[in-house]
Amino acid sequence: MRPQKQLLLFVLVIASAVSYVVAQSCTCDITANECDVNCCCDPDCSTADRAAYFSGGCLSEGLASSFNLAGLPTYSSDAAFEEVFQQVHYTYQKSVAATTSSLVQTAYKYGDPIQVQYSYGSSTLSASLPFPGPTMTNVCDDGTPARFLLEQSSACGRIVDNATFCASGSPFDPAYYTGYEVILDPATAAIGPISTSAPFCIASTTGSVTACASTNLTVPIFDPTTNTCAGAVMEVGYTVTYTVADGVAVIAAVLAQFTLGDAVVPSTSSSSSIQQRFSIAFQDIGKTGISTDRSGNPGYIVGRPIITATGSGTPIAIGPPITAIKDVYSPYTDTISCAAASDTGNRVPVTYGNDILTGCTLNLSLKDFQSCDIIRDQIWDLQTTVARDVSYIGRTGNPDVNIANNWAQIINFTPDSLTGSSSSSDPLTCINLLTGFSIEFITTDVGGGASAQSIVTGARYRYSTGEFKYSCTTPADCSPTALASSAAGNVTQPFRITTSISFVSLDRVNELAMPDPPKAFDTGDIFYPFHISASGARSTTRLPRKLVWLWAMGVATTMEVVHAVTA
Amino acid sequence: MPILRAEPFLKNYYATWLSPASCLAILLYVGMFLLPFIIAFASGSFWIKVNTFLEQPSVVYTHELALLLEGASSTGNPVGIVWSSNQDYNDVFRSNFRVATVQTSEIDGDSDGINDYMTFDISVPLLPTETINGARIAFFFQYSLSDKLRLRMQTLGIVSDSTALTTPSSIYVDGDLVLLQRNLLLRQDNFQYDKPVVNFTEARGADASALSWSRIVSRYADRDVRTIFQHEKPVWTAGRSTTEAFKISGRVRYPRQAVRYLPGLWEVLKYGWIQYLAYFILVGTILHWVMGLAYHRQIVRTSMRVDPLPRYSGFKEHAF
Repeated sequence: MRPQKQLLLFVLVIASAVSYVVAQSCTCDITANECDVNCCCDPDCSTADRAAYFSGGCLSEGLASSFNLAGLPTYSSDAAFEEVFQQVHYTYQKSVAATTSSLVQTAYKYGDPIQVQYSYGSSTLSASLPFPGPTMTNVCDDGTPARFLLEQSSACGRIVDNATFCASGSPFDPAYYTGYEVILDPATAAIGPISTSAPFCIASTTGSVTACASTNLTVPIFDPTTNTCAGAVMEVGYTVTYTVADGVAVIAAVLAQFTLGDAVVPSTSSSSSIQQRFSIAFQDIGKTGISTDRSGNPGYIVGRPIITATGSGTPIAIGPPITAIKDVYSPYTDTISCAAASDTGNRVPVTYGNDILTGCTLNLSLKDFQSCDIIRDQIWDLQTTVARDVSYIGRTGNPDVNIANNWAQIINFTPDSLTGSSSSSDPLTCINLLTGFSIEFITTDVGGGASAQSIVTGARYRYSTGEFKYSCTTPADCSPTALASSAAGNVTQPFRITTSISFVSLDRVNELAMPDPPKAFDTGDIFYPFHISASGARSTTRLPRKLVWLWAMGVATTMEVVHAVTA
Repeated sequence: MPILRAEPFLKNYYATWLSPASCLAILLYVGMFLLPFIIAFASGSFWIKVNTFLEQPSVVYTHELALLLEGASSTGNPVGIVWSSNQDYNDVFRSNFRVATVQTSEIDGDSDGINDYMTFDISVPLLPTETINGARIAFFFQYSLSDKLRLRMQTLGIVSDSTALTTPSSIYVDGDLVLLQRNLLLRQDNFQYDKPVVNFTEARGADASALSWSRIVSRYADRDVRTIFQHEKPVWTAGRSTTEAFKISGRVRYPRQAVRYLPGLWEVLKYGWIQYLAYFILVGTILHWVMGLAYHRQIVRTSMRVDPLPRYSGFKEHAF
């Protein structure tokens, strides 16, 4: 049968089954047994109604298809109903999901939430191990779980808006993080406690972290006069040890390392927030040997630390990662000033490919200018605290300390005047200060495309010597009261020192040079129609230079080999 | 016997110069060459005046930036924090200056020698009483094109946004550095803007407001060719801890651009010729047919002679 005829027949069948006709209908009569205002065809409206309150013209009578309900399709079968919904994907139906427990009952796999158990009388309640972190806002969310074998770290704020923020059971009390037992293996439901090691304490003045005087974990103490919560939890580091046997990973123990410090708030009546840090690391106790982090294998990965080595003449041992100065707010002095050289958490890590411009502020009084040597040494220490101890940097992300060509010696000529004693003729000027320190790297990429590897070819330290001079910028700096010998230690001025980290790629040097004039005859484009699909993403005229190099290197190597064989 | 080769005889129509037939021939030949031009020109865009090409620019972040954070202290006093990579500029705004830590990296994701994007991470220490509600950052770039013409210029990418959140802790912004041209670029060296967008030495000059943001922005907007940082509305994060620094992070992408330029003489002539030729074929065919009709049917009187038979010189002796 021809399609037109088929269609005609179909229409006829439908028309006879439904058999609707369009007829006049009072579509404005939408209230039964009550007169709809201005609906002239509403039989509930009396003439009196119309006269009394109808205003303006009548609402139009509508046209409505009259139909026979018996002829319309109905869906009484679930399958037929579902078939219609299957064809339309975009409904809210998908958003209504059955809620089930996300906690697995099988052995831990990578990414599974680590489970804990709370006691409630004789029964227990399971949950995931809270790993607080910022979610939508910067405020700590305890609902995010620690996940098996997923090393993470986070920093988030705890809201403080009343004086009991420091009380027992609060997030600043170590007990908040140990009040449950860990399910070591969900399959067997074996449990174990969260053990703690001797806590670290943050020194209130310098910010340096050392072992606490007491090894016990106690409830922090609130001092209402200074609004300080002493011995509050500032950092929690979990170490999860596990074993693997018969293809099943079982947690051996969870160790919590607390770092305690003073949580100082401006006021307990208004809302503020105290930052806490969390981290979790995993360790397979079945494996011997210490794991070391690489910064790439072999080439460096952008954002990973620059690998260093100590030693003179030859690299001897892997050194600490280089860090740079940074300004931080100190609640003890209520100023923004340089983080202490020992405060590694508040220094900027030097990572591959990251150009950094940073600095910090020294608040110096007139009195400080009487001892420039102390200032000189302090600045020297701040600027070079790690850098001066290392003399090699890894050329690749995985250098071997025993192989000399894996390392590049740092070009470093330290001016002697930057340390020790020297004085200016002006007693209110300190000279020979390391006000500017630069660490510079030259890098190159080997290979092209996705397989390109980043190599560091050299590094250099550069020192810029400057001087500090107490100046009368504002009248307050040098008022008679400020200059009085008794007050000279109280009025301070900010002095800045800077550090820069630069990475220069040999492959990018051309980018700064003036480009060549455009070619009148662009040979790269001659066969454009035959590689339209490949050129969709980017310009065809720029052939991957790296590939050309690779090809040239390949040819050179082949020629060398041929030459060697024939000779 | 098959036909191996066919050679036509020509019919030649003759008329004197001053005859209707000659006039018609002249008219038709002039029309044949002129009409295609008139039609092609009248139908528009005969001379091509704008053309475009696609190129991924070579963008280099010049490691210069200026930053202004605005907000209020807990007592309601205004807070303005200034930082820039230029020492003179910082000295001008000494009382509002704060040392920031800036980390940037330029990434060439596909190793083709052209940077694809720049990431930045800026951290500015704040006092616990300070709240930042507005951020304005200007990044400086060197922007070059070299495919069809040479362009090199120093440009700006600006982020400026504010929020009503009470204690925001960070702002994230992500977008494209887009070329903006008021006029067409010429197919020659376009180096007129290859000079610093902001002359920071003015910080030491007599005009105290020379480096105000409004002046910087307005002077930059005067330029006919420049770039803008086109991005989604920046994302602010609520809640800052008292000792925490304010953080600004994001990404500036350097996408492939359509560049509009003024085509040169040969390009204009080429496009004109293509159009002329297309109409010439059409008009020429019609007029040729008209001409044939007029002479063949003797609508205009001509004398006609058929080519004489070529002289046949009998058998060639060396024929195969």
